[in-house]
Amino acid sequence: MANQHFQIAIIGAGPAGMAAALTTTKAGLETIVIDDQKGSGGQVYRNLLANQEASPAYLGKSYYDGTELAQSFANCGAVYQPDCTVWQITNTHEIALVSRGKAELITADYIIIATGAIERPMPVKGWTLPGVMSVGGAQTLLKQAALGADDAVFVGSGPLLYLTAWQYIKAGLAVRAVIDITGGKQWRSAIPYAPLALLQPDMLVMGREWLGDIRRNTEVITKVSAIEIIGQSQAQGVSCTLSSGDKIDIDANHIFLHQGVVPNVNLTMATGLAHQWDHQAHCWRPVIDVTGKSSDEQIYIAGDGGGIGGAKAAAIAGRLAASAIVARCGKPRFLAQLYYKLRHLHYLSIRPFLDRLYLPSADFRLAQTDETIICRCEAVSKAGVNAALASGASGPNQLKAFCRAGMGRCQGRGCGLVVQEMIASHTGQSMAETGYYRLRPPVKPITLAALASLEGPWPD
Amino acid sequence: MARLTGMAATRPVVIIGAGIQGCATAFFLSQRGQSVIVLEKDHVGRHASGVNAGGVRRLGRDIAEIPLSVASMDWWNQIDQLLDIDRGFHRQFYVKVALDDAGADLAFRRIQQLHSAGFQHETWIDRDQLLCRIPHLTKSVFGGVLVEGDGWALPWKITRAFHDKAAALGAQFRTPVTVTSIDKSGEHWQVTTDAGMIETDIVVNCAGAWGTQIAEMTGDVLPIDAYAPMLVITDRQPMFLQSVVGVMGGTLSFKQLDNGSMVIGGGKRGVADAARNLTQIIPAGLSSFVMTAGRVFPHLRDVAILRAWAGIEGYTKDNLPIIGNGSQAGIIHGFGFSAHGFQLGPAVGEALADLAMARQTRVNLTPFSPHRFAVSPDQAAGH
Repeated sequence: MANQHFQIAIIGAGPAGMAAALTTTKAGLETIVIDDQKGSGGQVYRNLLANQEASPAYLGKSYYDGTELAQSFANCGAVYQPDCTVWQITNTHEIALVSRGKAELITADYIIIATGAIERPMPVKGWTLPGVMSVGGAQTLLKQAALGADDAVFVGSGPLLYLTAWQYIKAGLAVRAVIDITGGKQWRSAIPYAPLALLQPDMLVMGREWLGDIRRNTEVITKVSAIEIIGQSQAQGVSCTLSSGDKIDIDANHIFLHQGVVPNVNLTMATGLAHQWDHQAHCWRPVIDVTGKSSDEQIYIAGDGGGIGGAKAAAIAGRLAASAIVARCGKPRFLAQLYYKLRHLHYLSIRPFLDRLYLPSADFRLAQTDETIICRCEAVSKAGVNAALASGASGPNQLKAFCRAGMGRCQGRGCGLVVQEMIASHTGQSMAETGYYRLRPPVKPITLAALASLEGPWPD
Repeated sequence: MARLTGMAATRPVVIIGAGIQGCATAFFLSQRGQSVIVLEKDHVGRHASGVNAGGVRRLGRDIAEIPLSVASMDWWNQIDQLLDIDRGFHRQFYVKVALDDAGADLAFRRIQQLHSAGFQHETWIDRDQLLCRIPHLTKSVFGGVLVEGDGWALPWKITRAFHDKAAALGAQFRTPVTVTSIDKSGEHWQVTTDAGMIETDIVVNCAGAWGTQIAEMTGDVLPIDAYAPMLVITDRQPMFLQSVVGVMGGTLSFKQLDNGSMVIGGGKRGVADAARNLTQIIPAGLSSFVMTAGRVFPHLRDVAILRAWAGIEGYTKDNLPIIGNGSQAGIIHGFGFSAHGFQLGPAVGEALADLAMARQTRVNLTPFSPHRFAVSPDQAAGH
C-alpha cells in the first residue's frame, strides 16, 4: 500500500465513513477506508457484524439499525484497512498512516474525514480514580466484549447515558442509580425547540422508552447541584449535593460519567483546517459547507466530526459528501444530492432541542473543587491551572508552557474544552477569541520504530 | 547626538522581539538602570526561543562562535542566582558519538582543528568509557567527542525567566504589539506600532525569523531564510540518560527531561510560513532523525512519540548570527541565530546591552557584523 494513490481516502468507518464509501465505490471511484478500529461500525455500530449471530436484544433497535449499512459496506469493494491510524495529513494531501507497527504514506485526490465524536470531559472530583470510566467506555465493553458490571452508578446527562443505562438494564445488570444532572434551566431553554424536534418522532419515542424503563428499574436522582466521587485509591461511591442542599451518598465501585459528545477535532485541527466555535453545542467544529467541504477544497468532513447529529445524520452526511465529490469527478447527481440535503436537515431537526437540553451547566463543565484534576495526562489540578492563569498565561498554548496541561498523551482530548473555558472566564474573552490548543502530529501516539519505518527497519 | 559612553540613555531603549535574545537584552539593560520597552508581536517565547531543543552546548560550534559560547556558559553556570529560578540549567555533558569509521575520523579532525585554534574543551572519549557513562548506547559505538559541563535547559522556562526578571527590574513588555515602521526623526528614531508610536535613541532588533523585515525598516538589507527545525517528544520512560547525545557527521540532539520524556531533534526542517506563524511537519524528515536516534539507542524501539513540532527560526547564509550595529546610528541588530542561538542568549543579551550603552563588548563581535552581508538597498532592489 505504501506510496499508493487513491481517488478517495475515507478516514473512519462509522456510519459516515461507511455510507460515503458506498457512494464513491458505486460511482466507480477507487476508494480506501482507513479505520483505527479492528472492525467497521465506528463507536455507534461497534462490533455489529460480529454481534449478528448472537444478536443480544439488550443492545436495542438503534444499534441493529446499522446492520444493512455495515453489510453493504463489507461488500462495497472499497479497500478496507482496519487497525490503521492516520497520524498526519500534510498540506499536499499526503496521508501518514501507521498499521501494525509500520508507517506508510499514501495520497488521495479527495479525503473524507469521518472520525466522529468524543465525550465531553466531565471533571468532577475523583474522576481519575480506578472504577470510574466514561459511559462511552462502558458501552464499548458491552458491545465489544459483552462485559458489564452490576451495581454501577451512571452520572451525567445526554442520550448516550440513557441508552447505555437502558442497555445495562435490558442486559439484566443491576443499575444502582442514575444521577441525572439535567437542570430546569436546560429544560426551559430547550422547550421552545420541542416542536422542531417533533419532526423526529422515532427518536423522541425511543428516548421516552429508555427513560421510562430506567425509571421503572432503578433510582433516578435529579435536581443535582454538585457531584463528587468518593474513594482514596479506588472509587467507593458518589456523593451528590441536591439543589435543595441535601446530600446523598451512594456506594458504588463502578461509576460511569457522561455529559454529551463533541466533534473529535484533533485530526481536522492538526491538519490546519478552519474551525469555528459552536455556541449552541458549546464545542469546536470544522467550518464546512452543506456538503461537508472544509476550508481545504479537497477535504470533506462527514458525520459527528463535523458537528454532532447522531448516527443517522452521519450516514446521510457521508452520502452527501461522497456525492458532492462524485459530482466534482464529473458525475453530477443533482437529485441524489438534493435528497441527501433534505434528509440531513430532517435528521438535524432534533439537535436544537437536544443540544440545549443536554448542555451541562458551567458547574459541571468546569471543575467544582480546587483539587479536581483537569489534565489527567499531566495531573494538573484546577488549582494548577488557576495558578498558571494568575501568573499571566493568557491563552491555551501559553498555558501549556506554564503548567503542562494539554501536553500529555491525549493532546487535550480530556482537558482542552475545560482549560479553554477556564481561560475565557478568567480573561473575559469569548470562547472563540480564547481559541484552542495548537494540535500537532502525530494525532495519536506512534512508536519510534513505527515512525522510523518510513526509512527502514529499526536498528538492533 | 552627544551621548556619553556607557551612560544610560534618557529615552527607553526599544527592543523588538521577546525571544531569548530580546528578553536577555532587556534583562541586562534593566539591571544597569536603563529603561527598556520590549515590543513583541505575539507573546514571550512564542517561536524558536520557546520551543527549541534546549541544548546548552559549546560542543560542535563554528570556531568563530566559540568565544561567545564560552562567555555565555559563564552565565549559564550561575543562571539560577541570576534569574531567581531552580534548576534552570541541567549541567551534564554533551557528546557527539561516532557510529562508524567515518564518524571517528570526523571526530579526530574536529578535535585537532580546535586544538590548533587554541581550544581544549572538546575531547575524545573512547568506546569503553562512553559505554560506562551511557550504558544504554549502542554497543557498536566507536567513541565520541565530549564537552564536560554542557547540558540542557527548558527553553521556555529560561526565556520566561529572563522576561520575569527584566520586568521585575522595570522593563516594560508590550504584547501583542506589531511594529509597522521605524523612521529617523531628527536625532532620534520613531518606532510606529499598531498600538501607538514610541520615540527612542536606540532600537535593538531581536526579531528572530522576522529580523529581516525590521532591519529593512531601518534601511539595512539583511536577508535571512525562515525554516522550521523539527522536534519530537516521547512518552515518559525510566531515567536512563544524564547527558545530551548527538552524532558525528549526522544531525541529532537527544536528551531526557526530568519527567522521563525524551526530546529528539535533528536539524531536519519542516515548512515555515513566517508570515502566518505556521509550521508544517514533514513525515519523512521526522522519520530520518528518529532512525538516527534508533542507531544510537536501539532499546527505544517501542517508545511512543506524543508530539512533533517545529519553531520558526531565521538562518543566515553562513549560519552565523547577525550581531552588531546597523548602518545608521542607534540601530543594533541581534538575530539570524540559525538554530543555535539559545545557548548564546545570555552572552548575546549582555553584548547587545553593551552596544546599546556604547560600551566595549566582552567578546569581539566582528565575525557577526551585519556589514558582512552589506548590500545597498538599491542593489537589493535590482535583484
